[in-house]
Amino acid sequence: MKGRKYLVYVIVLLVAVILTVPLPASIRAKAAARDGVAPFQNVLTLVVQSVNEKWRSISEADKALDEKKQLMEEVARLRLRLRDLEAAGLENDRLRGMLAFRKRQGRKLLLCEVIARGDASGWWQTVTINKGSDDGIKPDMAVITMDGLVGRTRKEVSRYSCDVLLVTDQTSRIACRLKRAGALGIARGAGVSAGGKSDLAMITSAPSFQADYIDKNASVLDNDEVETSGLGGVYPEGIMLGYVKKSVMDSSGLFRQAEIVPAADLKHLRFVFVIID
Amino acid sequence: MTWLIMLIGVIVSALVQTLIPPITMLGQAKVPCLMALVLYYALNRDITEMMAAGFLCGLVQDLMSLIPLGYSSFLFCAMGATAARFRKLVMGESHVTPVVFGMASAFVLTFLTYILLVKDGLVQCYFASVWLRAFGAALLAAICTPITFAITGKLDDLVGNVETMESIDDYE
Repeated sequence: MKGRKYLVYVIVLLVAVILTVPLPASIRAKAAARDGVAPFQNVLTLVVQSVNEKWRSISEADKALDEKKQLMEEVARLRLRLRDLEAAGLENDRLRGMLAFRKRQGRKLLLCEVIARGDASGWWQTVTINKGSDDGIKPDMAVITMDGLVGRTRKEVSRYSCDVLLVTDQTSRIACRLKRAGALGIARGAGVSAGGKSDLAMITSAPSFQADYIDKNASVLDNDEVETSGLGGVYPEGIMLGYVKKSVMDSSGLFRQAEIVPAADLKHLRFVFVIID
Repeated sequence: MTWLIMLIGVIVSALVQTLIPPITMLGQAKVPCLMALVLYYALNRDITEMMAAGFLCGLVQDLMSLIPLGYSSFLFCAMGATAARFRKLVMGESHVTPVVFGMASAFVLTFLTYILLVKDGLVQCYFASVWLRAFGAALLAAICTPITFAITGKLDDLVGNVETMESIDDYE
């Protein structure tokens, strides 16, 4: 009985000790725990995805043919557009050479796989990817997909994995620019999951992402493209953020706010790129 | 064997809690499996086991999330101790008991966690959305707590973990 009583006091002491652990040690402990759990999360995620795909293939078999037809049409359109872009690219190179500009290098991208969604508490919008410091990943690196910006790597980067804070997280702040109008703003997440594409589901769900402090005289139209402005130092310039869904004046009347639909499909992330520059 | 069952319970609860995504319509609330496990030990087992479960579950939750180390351990141990105080006033065998305790604990824990995280500037959500999250967590706890009680109780019965329940009053 006495031994058990002392055990209670020991546990209370342990709680007090871990509450006062220095931040670097806490970060190392979290990183080590994430590395230990990552293989299990990876396996479970693969199993769940496999079951989901099997179920989807059974329940949506009748939609497969229509989808195939649409995809073939889209491939044909994209091939035509690619030819136009290649021609424009060649002309661009020629003009830059004539003006003696330095040739713009492509960014160095690291392909990563998403092995877990969200953290155990649910207070943050995060995903875990299967690459870490051993692959050159550092804190505060931009993470993107082919469609647009996903988020940034967090401080606790371990050797084999790291957490990515999504753009829809409530603590996410991104310096942005409306591509057509050129107006600057600050995009912030609302802590709500986002589908990424403007469709019926997005119309009925809560706004996940909006830009504040836009010049009140700027011309902001629906479906305007929003990209990163490069200010702030974390996100490189020119990465697609999303599309304007609607814009209103804010409560102060000094600035305009724009609700944005993220360009990247954040609900179905499978593979992402980390910009290693 | 008690500690082995507890360890298995902590690992499985942590994985389930991480895998099940948050539900947007319930304020992004997550299924509180780890909290439910602590409640089981608070209402059915020894005070020492409850404190150990609270410490372990809290530590695992903090390690697998962005919550600073120690916050969840502190909250889970406090919650378990509070729940254990009311153990003698309720029917332990009733199916309603885990539902009620789970809902109340999830509701209160959501607000306490929010206060601790806002104090450190780690979250920036409106207070109204926290209410929705608290109700959502309570609703999810009403479902997962009885299931956790049933599974863990069955495992304890299977391995013969039948120990004397000592009240928290014995330590005063």
